[in-house]
Amino acid sequence: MSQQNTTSAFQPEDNKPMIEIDDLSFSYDHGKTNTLKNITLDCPEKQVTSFIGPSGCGKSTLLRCLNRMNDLVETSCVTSGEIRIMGHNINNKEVDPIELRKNVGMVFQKYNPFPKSIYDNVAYGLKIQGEKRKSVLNDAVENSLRGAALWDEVKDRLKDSALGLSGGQQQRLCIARAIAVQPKVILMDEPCSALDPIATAKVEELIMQLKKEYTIVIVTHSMQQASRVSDRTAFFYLGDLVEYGETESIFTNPKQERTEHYISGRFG
Amino acid sequence: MSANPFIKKKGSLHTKERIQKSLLFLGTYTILIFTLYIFWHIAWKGAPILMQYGTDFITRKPETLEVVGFDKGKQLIVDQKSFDTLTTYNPSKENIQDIETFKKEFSFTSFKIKEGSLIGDGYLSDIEKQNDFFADFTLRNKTATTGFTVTKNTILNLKPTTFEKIQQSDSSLSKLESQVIEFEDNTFEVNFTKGEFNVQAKTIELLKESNLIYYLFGNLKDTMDDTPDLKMNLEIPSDQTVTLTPSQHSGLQSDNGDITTSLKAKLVEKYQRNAISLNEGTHTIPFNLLVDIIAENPAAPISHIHNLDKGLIALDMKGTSESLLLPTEAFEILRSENPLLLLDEITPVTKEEDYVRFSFANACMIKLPTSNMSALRIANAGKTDSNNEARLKVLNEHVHPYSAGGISGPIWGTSLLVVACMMIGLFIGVASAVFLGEYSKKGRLISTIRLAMLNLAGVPSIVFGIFGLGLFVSVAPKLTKTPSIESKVAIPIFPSWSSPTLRAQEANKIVVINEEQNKTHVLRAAQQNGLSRYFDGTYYLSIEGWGNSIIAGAFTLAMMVLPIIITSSEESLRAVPKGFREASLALGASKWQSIRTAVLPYATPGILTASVLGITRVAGETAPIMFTAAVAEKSDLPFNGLNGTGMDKFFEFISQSVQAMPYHIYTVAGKIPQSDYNKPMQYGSVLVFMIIVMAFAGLSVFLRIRMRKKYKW
Repeated sequence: MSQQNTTSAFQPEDNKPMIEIDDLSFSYDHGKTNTLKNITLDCPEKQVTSFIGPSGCGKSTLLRCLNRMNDLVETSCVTSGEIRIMGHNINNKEVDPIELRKNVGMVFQKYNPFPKSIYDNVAYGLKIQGEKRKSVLNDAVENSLRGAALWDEVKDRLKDSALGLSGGQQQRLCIARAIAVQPKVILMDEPCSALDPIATAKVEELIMQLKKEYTIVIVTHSMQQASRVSDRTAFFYLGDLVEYGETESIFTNPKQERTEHYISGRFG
Repeated sequence: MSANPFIKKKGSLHTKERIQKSLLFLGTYTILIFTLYIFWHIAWKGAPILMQYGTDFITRKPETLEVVGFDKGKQLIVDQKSFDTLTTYNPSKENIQDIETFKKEFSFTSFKIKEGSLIGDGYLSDIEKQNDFFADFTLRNKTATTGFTVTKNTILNLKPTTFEKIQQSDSSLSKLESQVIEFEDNTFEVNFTKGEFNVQAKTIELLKESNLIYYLFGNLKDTMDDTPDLKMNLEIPSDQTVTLTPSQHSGLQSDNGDITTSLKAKLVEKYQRNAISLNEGTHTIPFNLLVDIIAENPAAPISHIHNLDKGLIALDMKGTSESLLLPTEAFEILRSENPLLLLDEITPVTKEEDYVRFSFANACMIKLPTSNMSALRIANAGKTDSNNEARLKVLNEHVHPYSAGGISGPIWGTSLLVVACMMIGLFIGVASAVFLGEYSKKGRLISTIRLAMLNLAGVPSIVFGIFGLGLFVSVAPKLTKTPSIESKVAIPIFPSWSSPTLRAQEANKIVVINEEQNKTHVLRAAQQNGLSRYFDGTYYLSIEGWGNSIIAGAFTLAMMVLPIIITSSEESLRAVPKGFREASLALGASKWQSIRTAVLPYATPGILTASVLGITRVAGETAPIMFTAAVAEKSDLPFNGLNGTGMDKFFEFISQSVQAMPYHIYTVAGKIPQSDYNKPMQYGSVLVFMIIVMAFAGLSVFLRIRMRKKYKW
């Protein structure tokens, strides 16, 4: 009941919802046990939504439902409800996950650039979509690297291996790679958990920049990070959405006891 | 002060430990020492061979050496080239004495052929062989006058009809008087009873010419080639009376089969022949009548190298006037037997060639490859004039197979087998590994397949050999225009179309029997009908196997390395981080795109490691190839002696059998009589083989290191 109230009560007029999750239940084992239970929430366009919660609460699973990466697990299935992105149900049979993923990019917890040159990494997405024109690729690489605030650091060594970059640079390269295919939504699965504080600060700064153009959903373990970067926060616990609302109100005035316990560290 | 508790204690435990340690040490080092000893032994025995032969050892084919003991005879004569071969094989100066070079003269005739000449097929090929010249021709003529030489005075018996034709023709024989002679011939009328009989093949061969109607069970031609005494089943469908010649009748009498016949009547047939007597010398006659004369008098002393089936060729010189050269004797025959050959610029040419006189020392051993030795013997076969002594005094002779030359044939064979096998093996292996590792759902079927595959690695290699023989050599499907008679099933697949230009080449090269089929006609007909190609038989998918061939051997070997390649490819695919796959999929790649661009490249170093193991195993296997690809002896290298063009040439190339290193070593070391002459070759072959296998392995290791550097994560 409480979830229903929080979501419906919160509906800013300038931002229409980009992602609508409606009563979603999800299972990894043919529906025997539900990993996600009746989740309902909306992510508004060009804002940052963060998912917080203890390990195993289902926030990463929900994130991977958004671009159907869970399809890779053979036994997984959506048991009820639906997810709409830009108003379209993405679990519809007619939906091609490949087309979906072109529009819903993802950045992973462990930075994973390919062992190729920086240029090839950023151009990869366009190349597999069949883009061969050199000028288009060059422009896309430059724009994406500028967009990921990495251009000035790597412009002289685009042909060098991406593995020669520092951890923070590699993660920003992965973000550049994701935005090179011009998605509508970027999903970030704990993007800073493997980075030191300085690199984390840079990535957070970048997220604030990217928000102007992309809808971002971020999973994080760091409550400080959630409060710094996100406009809205959802707190999950054991597959339930406990509380969802504007970040400020969640952190200053949580409505649920469990949320309060979690953000004050008296929990888990 | 108390005793130091850390002092080494004397006790059994310590000694035991030492014994255990030394046993382990001994075990390890014994193996190492044995290995080193074997390597050292091969290198020690093999290196002198390599040093002696140099690059010849890997560029020349295996040769058979003939070792002959000669006593000092008279002077021998050979040409300079053969003498050089002799001295290379016998470097010792003591064996060959009294060397003296001189020049020998040969007379040739140079001439030119004019446009429109007619020439016999055999004469033309003689000219072509001796001069690097290939004539074009437009048609064959069967009625033009040709010449023939009678080598001694003779009498020809001709049928009256033939004799009449000769009299009417433009021939040097037309004015000859003839004498009519009467001949008698016995024939037998024989009754055959209806039924099934068992008759010798050679009798059936005789009866084939008669009017007897019968059904035969089996292939007469094959049986006649192998065992003419074998009995075959013959069915005579009804009672018949047939006239037989004396030879047919006596053949039927002597047959020990169960055929039942009865003699009805013995007939005497009389016939006439016109006998003409021919003097020694050259005569002229129309070509078709020459054919008749030779058919009626097969034993006549007529010398000719006409191809009697084909007629005379009208040459098309296309304005080229090449000067041709023939030995004077051959030229004279050519001129007298081809009266319609128009010649120009006939000039005698004298050529000098270097020859060497020498003699062998007393009781010397001379080594030479068999062909050179027999050439030496033929060249000096005569006897000396003075005291009727043989020129060559042979004391003893031995033949030692594979005791000279090199091993280029086996090297090429093994390289081709290994390369083809790895191409097939890697393709199938990597494809199955990708399917098993990336696509297949986990289940009982897949794990059974995987288990079966692992077990395949333990199957003895001879079993693979038999498997390859049964599958690839004898029943694999083959696309061919001419299915073999052993084909189990031949399914027509699609028609073969050849272009007129190709056919024109063929027509030029092979047979143009009459004007209707000549090449301009073929081209013109094709163009008039708007065809750019025309039907040329049908391709069949024939279940007849690939025969003893590179491709059959390569597939057999590929089956053998598949378990290694599949297991280790799957392992290396699994070692590629999951992040690459996810990152690629998240960027909108399809499953295959992500495997191709983000998984396979990074698994390549591991897959190459597997192929190192595969190559070293495959290159050394004897058993799988001895039934499927390898032969002990082959005169040509794989690249030589191919006749086809384009795709046909490729198919011919992969369908030939080859010599292979391991099989060659087996032959040299185990299958032929051993001698001091071929023993060093064994060590040489083994050493080279070891070097090649190590080089193959080294190449893969090098590739792997380079790939690792490129695709490190």
